[in-house]
Amino acid sequence: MPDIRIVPLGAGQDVGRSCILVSIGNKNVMFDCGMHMGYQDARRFPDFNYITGGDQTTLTPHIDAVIISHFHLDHCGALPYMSEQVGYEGPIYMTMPTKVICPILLEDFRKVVTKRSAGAETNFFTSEMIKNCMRKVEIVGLHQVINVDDELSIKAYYAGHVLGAAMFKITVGDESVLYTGDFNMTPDRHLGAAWADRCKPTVLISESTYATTIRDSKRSRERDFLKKIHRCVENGGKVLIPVFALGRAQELCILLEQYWDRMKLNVPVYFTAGLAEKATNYYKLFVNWTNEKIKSSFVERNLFDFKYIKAFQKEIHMNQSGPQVCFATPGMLHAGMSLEIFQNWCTDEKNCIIMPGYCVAGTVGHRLLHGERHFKFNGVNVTSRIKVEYMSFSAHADAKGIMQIIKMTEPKNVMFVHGEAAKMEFLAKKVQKDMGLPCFTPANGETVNISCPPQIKVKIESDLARKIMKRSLNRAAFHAALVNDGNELELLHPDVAMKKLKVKQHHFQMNTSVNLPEGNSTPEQIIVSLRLLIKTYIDGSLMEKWVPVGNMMNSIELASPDMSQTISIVAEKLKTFDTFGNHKSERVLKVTWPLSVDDEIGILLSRLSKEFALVVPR
Amino acid sequence: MELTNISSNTSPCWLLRTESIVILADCCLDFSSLIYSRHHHKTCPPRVLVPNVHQYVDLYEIDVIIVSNYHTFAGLPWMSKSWKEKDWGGVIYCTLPTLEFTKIYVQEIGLYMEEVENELRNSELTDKPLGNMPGEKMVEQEQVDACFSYVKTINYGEPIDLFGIASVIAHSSGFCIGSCNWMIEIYDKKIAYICDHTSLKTHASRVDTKALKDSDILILNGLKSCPGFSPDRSVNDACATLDETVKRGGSVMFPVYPTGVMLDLLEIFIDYLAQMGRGHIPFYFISPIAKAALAHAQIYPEALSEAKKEKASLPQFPFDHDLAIEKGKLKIYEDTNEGLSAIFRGPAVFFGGHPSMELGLARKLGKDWANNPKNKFIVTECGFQNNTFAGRLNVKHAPVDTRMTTTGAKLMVQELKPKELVICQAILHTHPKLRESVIPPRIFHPGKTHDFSSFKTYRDVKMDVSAASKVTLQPTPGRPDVCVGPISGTLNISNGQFRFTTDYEGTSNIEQKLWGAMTVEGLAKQLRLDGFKNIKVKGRKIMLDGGFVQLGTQSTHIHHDSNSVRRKILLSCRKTLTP
Ligand SMILES: [Zn+2]
Repeated sequence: MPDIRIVPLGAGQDVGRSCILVSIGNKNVMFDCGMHMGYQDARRFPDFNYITGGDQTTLTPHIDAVIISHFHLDHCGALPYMSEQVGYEGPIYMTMPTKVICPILLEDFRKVVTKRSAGAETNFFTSEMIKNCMRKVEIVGLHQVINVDDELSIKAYYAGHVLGAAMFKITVGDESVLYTGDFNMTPDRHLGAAWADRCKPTVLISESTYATTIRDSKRSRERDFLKKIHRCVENGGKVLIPVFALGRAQELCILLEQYWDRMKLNVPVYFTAGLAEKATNYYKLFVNWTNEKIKSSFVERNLFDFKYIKAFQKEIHMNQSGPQVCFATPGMLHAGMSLEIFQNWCTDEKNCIIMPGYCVAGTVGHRLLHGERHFKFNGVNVTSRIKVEYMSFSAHADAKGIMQIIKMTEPKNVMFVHGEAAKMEFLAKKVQKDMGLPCFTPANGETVNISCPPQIKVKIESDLARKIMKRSLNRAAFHAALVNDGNELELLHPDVAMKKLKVKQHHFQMNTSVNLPEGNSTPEQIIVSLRLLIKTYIDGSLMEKWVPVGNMMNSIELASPDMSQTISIVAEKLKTFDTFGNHKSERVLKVTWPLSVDDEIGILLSRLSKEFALVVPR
Repeated sequence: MELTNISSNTSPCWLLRTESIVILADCCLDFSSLIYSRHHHKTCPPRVLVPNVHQYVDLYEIDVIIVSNYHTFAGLPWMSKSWKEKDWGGVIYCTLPTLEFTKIYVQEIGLYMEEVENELRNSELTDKPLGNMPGEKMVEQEQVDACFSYVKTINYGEPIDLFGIASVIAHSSGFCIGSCNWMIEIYDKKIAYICDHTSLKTHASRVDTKALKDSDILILNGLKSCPGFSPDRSVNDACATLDETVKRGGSVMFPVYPTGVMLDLLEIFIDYLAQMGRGHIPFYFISPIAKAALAHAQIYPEALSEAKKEKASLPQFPFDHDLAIEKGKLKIYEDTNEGLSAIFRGPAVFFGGHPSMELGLARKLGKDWANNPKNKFIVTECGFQNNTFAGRLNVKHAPVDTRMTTTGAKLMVQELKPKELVICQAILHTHPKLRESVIPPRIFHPGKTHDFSSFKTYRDVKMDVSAASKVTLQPTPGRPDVCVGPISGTLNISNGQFRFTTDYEGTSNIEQKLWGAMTVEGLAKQLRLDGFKNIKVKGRKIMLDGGFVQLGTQSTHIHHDSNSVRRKILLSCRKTLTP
């Protein structure tokens, strides 16, 4: 059995630069290759020296496959650096939406970094490198099984979160690891909920951004968001909402559109141009990656064609008097237009900034959320008076959602990444306690070894398996014979096993009796009225196909459809003596059935007899 | 394993059955009755032919249906009535685009047939009752929807395990958006099922031939139905006729299916007229489902050719239709009643149904244009060469059929190296040379069944060591080297892998058989071990609180009025019995 070794190079007890190395046996896979927004030095990328051991070799001989879960930069931002600068020639797997959107965000990121450093960053990856890197990408469809080689295969599942986000399962032999990337278990206005089958991975590696949060109901959060915006613009203020161009932005735009329509508002709403329009087109093309509601109505009306939201023009709108709402990129106020707008608007206390997502340490967004109000922009000290609101709209699973994905996939081990140490520790304890599963929370560079206990292999003839499964698609209870012939174990139908091994059946007869209240009616009379009751009762029940046989006056016999089994109910009058030695006549119904029929049938009949006892003729 | 050919002509419909599983592959509609209807029984409402699957199998017994593309789905709604009556538990597998295009395709046919039928009923021609044609009426929408409710959509390359007996997996066939071939495994047999396969460049994603290699049986369907016409030449012919006609002030109609090759043709002809300096000639796509058909073509970038994928990643719509609509070059209407009479005057190009020219826009224009030799129909769909319309002067037959030629098929057989090749007899009418394939084909006449010998196979069930330790195996008297023991629990299957878990609860309503013998003393001891109090042995009777156990040599009677106690006693017996 191959053992599993997992080490996070990034996102271990942290959010940012997700990069998790997984080895199953001798196969090595890298899940995600992200950057850290909080750093501007070497720490913004995962430490790939760990893999090469500091040699001047490339990663190619060390890694069999790289898998990117979705287009957020903290999951793909280091990809060109890894593949073109450190060097990796092997396959990179992602979904099609990720493949088309990822290079745009990388290019955007590249421009921000090189502009900010004003030429100091001489060794940053180039546009050419992004292109070369993307040529190594292979597209993975949902549920499509891709064989990387003879031993290693991968399969993608829908993750919600953002357009094209996927969870990935890798399998080598009997062992598998499911990596959730970022996922969301509740459908929203534009995406569906994450889903995976009960694939029982050896390890589930889950993100844990909201490990300790059970977010208040989505509705009230949305109402709150709209109320805050409405109040601010009513007072003549400007609302700045920093967002990533793709992802939550579309969700909030749809929300605001519908509200503006309903409330008949005419306050202008803008979206900083550039990526935004392109983004909308991606949502139109990949409508199958959105949710059922959008899919079902897209022919008649495309939800992403906004009526109220217009492109933001800096020269006109930045200092335009009066209220407005502006969605601006990027989301963490670390650079670009959102930061520029913030600088312009932050000194006016009438204005409001709503941070709808998580901000990484070191960004202006993060500092603002942690109460800082004094900033230095281009050498000028600025004191911020803008009203600051934080509302979590990032589409991550909360504690409930994480437990849900564990229940859904039934892993043998759980590991948390992409979260804060204390929070994931808390949830890990809960998982261990409530579900009895080993749960790991390694820090970056810390290795987790999971030894895989050997599994016992038993063979079963396909036909027998089919008979057991009947039409149930994934699980069915059964009784069988397990035979060990010294070489291998086989599950056999008892009839086949008995015949093959010349062993005789041991019959079991189950008996139960029901006492009837005292009365004078004879067993024959009792049986007549019981027959009537049974007739009305068994239609549509388990007994439907059982046929009455025999014509005994004091008993009812039912035969199984193939006539091989019978069930009987006998009415008897017993002469007994009470404690005073007086004659007493007791009436009982004796129900008897063989074990080789459905035990529930016997139970059903005895229950029926008990009911009969209440209405039996005196 | 039995294979039956249900296809009445070249439209595929096959039945695969073993004692444990019944799989139906494809079920097309046949429109030949439409043409027959028009020319022989003018007062008969239109009818279509549906494969007589029920003659070969109780529809309820079918476990799984696999569908290759929207053409081969359309015959299924006729079955859903009998499924509904008996609560069918089966599944129809197809790709998402196949499902969506089938919805569009079936809706269009339904509306068209209804339209003609209503017209016939209202016309004064029919003071006598309408005649009866062989074939089927369109099914109610409710029944169509019921049929779609059985569908589970799958992706290319997504293995589907069928009860541990078989598995199926779809691979792109290159024919249209979402179309596929299948690799089926039943018992020890690998069956490659090919339907409407093309290696030519189309708008759909490249065909995946490699995945079909080394099968035991190759079922080959859907070859080119008009071998004399190369797609390129037909397109050129159509372009020339189109240009000539509009130059002379006439209009052109293309009677087409609402998707498939028409998606390409629409682009090509708009481009072509523009190139010829006739960009002002308007294009109309007139069908009740026109809008949905074009919208759906744009949203499956994953299932499109590399060139179209490239466009999607820009991001632009993969097809130029939306651009043409934006520029006013292409207009879409649900039907001709939307104040369109004006546009019928000037030269224009029309796309719409139905290729048989017996339904829809083609039928209407067929009447209107009967006496106007200036206008032309260009039939680009295939399978309608025998249409008597085709003999008329204003009908140009230029079928664009991208499917395999005889030579292509023979080369492919050579490449795929199946052990056996299976074809439907009707295919030989158009591809007689297929007989000379490297692997001599086994020819199936309509309704023919052949029994392929196959061996039952074994599957592995994985079990945790802890689960296995709960089972007690005991040597058998006849063969002390062989051990046996009763095992109860749950069999789980996920991703084609069986696992066993020992949860005895939930197995009580399953038939159970035990074997061997036990002594009174042995059972009494075990009962005490299992926590029963006040055990008393009286001969072959063991008394316990509230009941007793009576032992015979090969039978045991358990008497107790509590269900749970009876089950506990039985568990003790299971432990005591020795073979
Ligand atoms: Zn993310």
